Amino acid sequence: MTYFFDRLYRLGAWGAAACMLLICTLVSLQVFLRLIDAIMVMFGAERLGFEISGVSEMAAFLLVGATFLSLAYTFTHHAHIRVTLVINRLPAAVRVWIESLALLIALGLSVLITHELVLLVGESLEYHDISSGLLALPLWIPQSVLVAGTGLLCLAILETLIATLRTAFTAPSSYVAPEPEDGAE
Amino acid sequence: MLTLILVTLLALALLLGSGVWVAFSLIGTGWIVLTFFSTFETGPILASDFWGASYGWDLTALPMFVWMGEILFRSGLADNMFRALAPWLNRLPGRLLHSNIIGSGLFAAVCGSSAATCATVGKMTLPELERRGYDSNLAIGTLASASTLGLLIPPSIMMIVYGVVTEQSISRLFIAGVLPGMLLLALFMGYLAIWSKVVGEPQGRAGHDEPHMGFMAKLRNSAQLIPLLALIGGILGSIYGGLASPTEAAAVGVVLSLIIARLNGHMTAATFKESLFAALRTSCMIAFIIAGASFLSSAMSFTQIPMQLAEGIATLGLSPTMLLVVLTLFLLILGCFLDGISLILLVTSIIMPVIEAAGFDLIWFGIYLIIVVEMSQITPPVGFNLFVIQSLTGKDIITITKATLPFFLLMIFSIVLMHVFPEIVLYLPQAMNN
Repeated sequence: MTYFFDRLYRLGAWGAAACMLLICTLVSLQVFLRLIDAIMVMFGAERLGFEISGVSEMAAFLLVGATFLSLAYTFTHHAHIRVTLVINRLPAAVRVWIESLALLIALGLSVLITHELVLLVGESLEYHDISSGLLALPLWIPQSVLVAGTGLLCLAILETLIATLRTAFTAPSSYVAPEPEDGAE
Repeated sequence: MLTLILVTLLALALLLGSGVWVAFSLIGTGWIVLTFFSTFETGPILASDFWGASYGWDLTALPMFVWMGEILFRSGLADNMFRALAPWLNRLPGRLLHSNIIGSGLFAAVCGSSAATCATVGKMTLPELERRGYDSNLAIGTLASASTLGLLIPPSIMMIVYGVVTEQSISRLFIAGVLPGMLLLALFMGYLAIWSKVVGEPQGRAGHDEPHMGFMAKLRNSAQLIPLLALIGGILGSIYGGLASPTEAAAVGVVLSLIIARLNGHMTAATFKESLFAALRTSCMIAFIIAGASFLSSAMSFTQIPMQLAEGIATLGLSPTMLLVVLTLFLLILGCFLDGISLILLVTSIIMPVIEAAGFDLIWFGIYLIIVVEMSQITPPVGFNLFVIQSLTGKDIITITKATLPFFLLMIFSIVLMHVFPEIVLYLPQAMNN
């Protein structure tokens, strides 16, 4: 199916990709600097103590973006796994309703998660929660990234639910179950 | 108490069975349990668990290793491997079939996905082996089972997941997987050699007509294996020597595998983007299930089910061996329906207290759990590797299952060995501490 907000989901995925690249660059750079330092010491030079401070903390929080900003994108590419052993055997006209039910449950839960996470962000703002490391990052920042991710997921599930229900009411036996695609962009 | 356990199991079975995504099934079950069987407020627990499971330095190794695997998967390394291994293995009984075992074992270790390995290596080796007249059942069996070894030979995504949720050191888990991985390789190769001597050779002379290759030519061919071995060795060595944490090794691994792929002439802007986005999808899927399992796990502990389960099992007075037998059967049945990551997370979120109470070492148990997951990859109806081979060869699933059965039994044998001699798992991580 084509998604009305596909651009948004892709945008989320690009955000996640940026976080991945940043994690990889920061951490490798850190290791590289440490390596140079070790080699210099080996040749009798002073330890320079090259260090990017708080790299591990930064990477730990960038992980939120790297994994959860692509929640909706992963959903629209059918890469979230589920057990299809039973429902694969159902005729299309029945399956379309089971799919709708599964989507409804997923929508309910993702709205619940998003709602509770929004409350959490509110609390973090109110109490000025900061991370416990050197960085002292205000927690609402990565938490808001998480909310953005689950929010996009709600939207993607809602779109899919509407499309599936439309099929269920108009032409239930024409329903074709989505399959994960390889090499998808 | 019994109602609670029944409701939990029923909710899980219904949600999973009706095709609700695994992460949502776990969250939904946790929500039902907390809302109807406890006085705690569900919402804040959900938010704080979900948030708590979404960041972390150790967990950062996960997307990095997944990405490294996606790059290597597209790097053309698998083609080189067969050419590099074949000339050396042609003297052993079983001949080129050994390259199936070692090749898929090594490739799966760095690629991280056993189904992808099975497909990549199989696409190359199965037609070659058939052309040379090797027994097709054995070719299938070795391929399907050896490509599951990647879950055990580090770097392993399963180990990161297990280590993060049970708060075990990922470095130690990685190191603990080395000997059992080699043990399984040895068992597979030993079986193959004996089978070839006893059953195979009287039947045919497959592989006897390979052209002779000079020693220098062999060495030249093997040079193509160096990048792969250096990568595995470098990652393991730096972790074992305490030079790098798994996350650091993973990030550097991504950079190195990009360089390898580039040198192999397989890295274009398009493949780079493809590998990155494939890694995003896989990591996101896993991270979401981890977050869901973390919520289910705390919902469980709020209701005290795991504790009571542990006490209940303790009063049964099962010996650790009996417990292990029961558990293995139970896990293999579960593994018929669930994939590896979901299986590990479901088990750890519900029965970890039972395992601790029974006195199992948690590193040992992690390795055990991963071998059971490997076995479930080659058992029907949801053995991913079986499906991959089915689509590669067009043989029916029963033939394929029969072909993998001996290797399945060898895996069970390895668990028995590990139970009798826990040092197989624990020697290296303990040596690392000193």
